[in-house]
Amino acid sequence: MMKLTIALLTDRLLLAWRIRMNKYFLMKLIEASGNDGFRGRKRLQKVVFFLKFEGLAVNAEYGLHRFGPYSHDLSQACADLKSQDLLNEEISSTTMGGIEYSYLLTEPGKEAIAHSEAAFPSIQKAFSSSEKTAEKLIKSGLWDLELGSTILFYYQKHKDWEVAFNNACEFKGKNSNSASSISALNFAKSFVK
Amino acid sequence: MGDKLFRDPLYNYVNIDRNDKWLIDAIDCPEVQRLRRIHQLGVSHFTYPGAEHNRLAHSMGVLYLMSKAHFHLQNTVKGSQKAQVEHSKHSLLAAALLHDVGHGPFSHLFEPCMGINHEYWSVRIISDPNSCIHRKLAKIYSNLPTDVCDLIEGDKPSLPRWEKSLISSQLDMDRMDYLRRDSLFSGAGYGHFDWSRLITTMELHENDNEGIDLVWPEKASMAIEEYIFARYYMYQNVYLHKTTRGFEVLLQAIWKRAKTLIDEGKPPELIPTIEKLWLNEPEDISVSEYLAVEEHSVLSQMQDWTNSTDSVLKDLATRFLNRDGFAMIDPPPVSDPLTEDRSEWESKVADALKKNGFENASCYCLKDELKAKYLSPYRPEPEKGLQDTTNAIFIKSDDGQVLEVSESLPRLKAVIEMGKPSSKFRYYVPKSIRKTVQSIKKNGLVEDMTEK
Repeated sequence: MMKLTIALLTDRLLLAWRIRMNKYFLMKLIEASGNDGFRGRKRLQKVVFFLKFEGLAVNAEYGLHRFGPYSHDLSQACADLKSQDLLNEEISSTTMGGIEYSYLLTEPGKEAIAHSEAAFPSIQKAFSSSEKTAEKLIKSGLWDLELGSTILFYYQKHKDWEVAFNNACEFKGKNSNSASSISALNFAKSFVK
Repeated sequence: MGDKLFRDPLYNYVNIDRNDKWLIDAIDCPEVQRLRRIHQLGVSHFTYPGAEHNRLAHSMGVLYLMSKAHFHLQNTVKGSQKAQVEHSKHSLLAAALLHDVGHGPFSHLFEPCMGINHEYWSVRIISDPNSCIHRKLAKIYSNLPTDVCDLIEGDKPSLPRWEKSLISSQLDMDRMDYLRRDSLFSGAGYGHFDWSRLITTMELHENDNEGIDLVWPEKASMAIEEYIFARYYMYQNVYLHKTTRGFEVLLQAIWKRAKTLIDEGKPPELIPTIEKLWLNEPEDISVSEYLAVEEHSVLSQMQDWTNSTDSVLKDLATRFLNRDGFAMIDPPPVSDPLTEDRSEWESKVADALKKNGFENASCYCLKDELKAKYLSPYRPEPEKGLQDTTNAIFIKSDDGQVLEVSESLPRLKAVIEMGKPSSKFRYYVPKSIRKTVQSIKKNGLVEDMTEK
């Protein structure tokens, strides 16, 4: 009975935090990316997907889009933070002729993080357990993130690496024997214990 | 046999082609007929008494629109696309009819109460070789049930993108039916748009080596704009109506209370069908056991709970059945934009509840989140490389370029750029302490929280 009550209380607290923590986590991710800011909305989508898979309490529902797992909730949260002047969004051209969005914290954004951490010390603790993974993900290759997250998406459904890998490669129109595909598979596997 | 005709308030007649008798057989299946007993709009009839329409009528409406769309594409596409369109007919029509077959009581709103995922159950029902619907589909060709499930789930690698878009996208047959149907039956006349124009102008566009997408020509832009605003108005006036949402959170609070009692070892009486579905993992529940839980089961269960020995469960169930809802309170602004914390105010509300005889604040101060995506007409994914039909609507300009629709509609673009609302929260408390809670919001502190 005591175990049930504790479990129930923990669940309730976690649920309450989950609803609150989206924006704080996003801001911390952008802070972790350093002075150059967090480059790329696609990268942001995939990084949060992996962190969520690992257990970060993020209220972001993911679906499969043609470029891999995508969360409209996450996209909206970014827009909210930008409209609250807590983030700056910069648009630049890529070498391939496309457009890339990057995010940097504003001064009010940095103050907002400090304020949240002062008011709720447990928030900082909740993110710190994911901080190392976040830093690793931010530095990872975009293809590992894109195909890797698609493999993981299928793995969550089928619980079979071969099926997940083949589905993901077919979905992305990529050769499953290529070095980059195998690299993405190993990348995805590194998140499953 | 001639065409089979069904009278429908939106389309006048929904006709099933004489060569598609298999669709009549599918409609006659018990799994599909069950949808008659599920309200399309959950508990919106508590707000709009006319909103009693059911999921079966909606499913047949989607079937009708899909048949129109397929007919149009069949007669307009050329080359290799023609064979693809022809080949997709059975799976598209079946998916249109069956996309909601897995819905539980009160549609979407009840899903968190029992952990139901209607998409998961739609696939289970169609895949089950013992289900009537599976047997009817398999008679057409053996893989049809699988093809339909793939369309409903939408993540199979080989699934053509345009097919998926017709079933589920920002502008799909599902939305095109329910917006107009819900508008008609609620009486809230906001859900009007030129659906015929949208269906008769859609095109397939080959995206180099990336697949084929569903797009519209520039001449359909205004019809798309009208649809976008109709969708927005329906959300503000019907789907997010404060009274409806109040009853939705109340229903969820009832089932949350019952679950709490179970977890604490004081389970309330449960009727067998509910107990089986609720207290077991989905993998351990058969399709027939799932289908046995309908709205009448849920209402019957709550009727039993009006005599519960737990006073909170008894009170909440009675309120719901007697349509004695809670009062909506707009909360004060948050002090912390990142955590959206209002715990200090919530704690004062809990004190007020206690002083007025409501011991259990979590059951009597109910929170509802209105997600930001529903609070503005259209928010496409801004980065072009991340856009697809699930987060944007596309038009093909006269010079063959495919653009996200707001790029060619300055008015729509201005609305997108004008205001980007954040998620909103509403709270619901018993009417008897509404004034007290409003005082807390205004003054910060209320000495005497006893409502006179």
